[in-house]
Amino acid sequence: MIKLEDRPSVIILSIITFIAVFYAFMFLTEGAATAFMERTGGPAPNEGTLFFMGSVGYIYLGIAIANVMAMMAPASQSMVFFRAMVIITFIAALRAIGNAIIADEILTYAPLIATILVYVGYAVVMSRNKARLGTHFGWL
Amino acid sequence: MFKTDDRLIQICLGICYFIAAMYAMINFFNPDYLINRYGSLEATDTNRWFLGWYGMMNFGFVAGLIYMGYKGLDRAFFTYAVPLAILFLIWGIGGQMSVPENEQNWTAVGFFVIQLVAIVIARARAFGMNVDFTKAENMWGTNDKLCQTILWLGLITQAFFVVSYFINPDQLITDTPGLELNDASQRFALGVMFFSLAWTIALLYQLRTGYSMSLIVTGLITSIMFFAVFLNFAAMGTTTLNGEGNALLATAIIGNFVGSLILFFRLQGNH
Repeated sequence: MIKLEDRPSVIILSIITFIAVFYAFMFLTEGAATAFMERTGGPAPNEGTLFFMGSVGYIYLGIAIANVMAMMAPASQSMVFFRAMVIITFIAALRAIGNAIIADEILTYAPLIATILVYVGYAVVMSRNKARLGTHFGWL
Repeated sequence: MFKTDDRLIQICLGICYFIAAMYAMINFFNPDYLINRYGSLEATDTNRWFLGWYGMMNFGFVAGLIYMGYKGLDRAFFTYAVPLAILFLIWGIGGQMSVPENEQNWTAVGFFVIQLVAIVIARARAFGMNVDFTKAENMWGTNDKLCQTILWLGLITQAFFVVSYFINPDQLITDTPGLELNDASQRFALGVMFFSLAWTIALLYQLRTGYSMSLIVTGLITSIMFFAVFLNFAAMGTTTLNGEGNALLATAIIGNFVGSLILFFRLQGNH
């Protein structure tokens, strides 16, 4: 059933998929989204914030489903997906790092670490499946 | 979509897919929509909790249907789907009969009837009316001892839940902090037991005829969702991992998640 040839990539994508499902449910559920904001030191979310957090939750859910689809196809059919996800998660990681640098106080590093790990995970998957266009950061 | 030339089977399974997916999304993502439309349901966290539970079970059902769409029709899936459809028709009728006439809403019962008719027609057209109990070469249809053990544990857990419901129908509600014991929650608990009963029947069938990958996918998706929600509750502080929550339920959710993952990854290579 799983057609992706590289086993470590399957493991990495499975873990990322679960993280995506976890964050999707967190952002989609009002109580969990409020608790997330409180734990990360943000202001209590209003109705508008919760609406947009829910939208982000659906994006996470979409990414989880896309990961499953990528695992069910040979690597050759998922090259562009891997590249796109590396770019998206790289930008997300940069933003998370930037936010952490300028923050007055950080209550938890969990989202920051998760964001960076997801980027590294996709980079490893991209490299192992020979989806890399150039040779930059070949050690990943 | 369902790897068959029979247009009627495709239509029937398409209807099942639509109804299950619709209720999965409404129950899980917007339980207040249902609460507002059913006079017998109050806007409480207990009702949202149970509706979320039903939503996750429906998502698993949808995943099983999608898997059959990819791989072809599977007898074992119908041994889960048909009893479930019958049980939920009984549940729906019983539930509406037990509330005052001015609070009754028969919409869901209508959908349950359509679902049952569609799934029975699809089953009958695909495999005839006979139930095939051909014994598999090995117990559970696999040589893998770990998978056999996990499937046994799954069967024992589901059967245990059914039996414990008959001993104390309110146990799930009273043992779970934050849930209120009332007529609505008792009806929901009955429905949860019906899910377990349908799983018990399906697992017994697989014990004899061999495991079904479509049911393993159904269980996998359901257990992933339950575990993710469980972790969310833990992150929110409403369920703790050190004994303040329903320890039995927490163990079942974690065990289900780990077991489903092992089953899926060890058996998927054959499909």
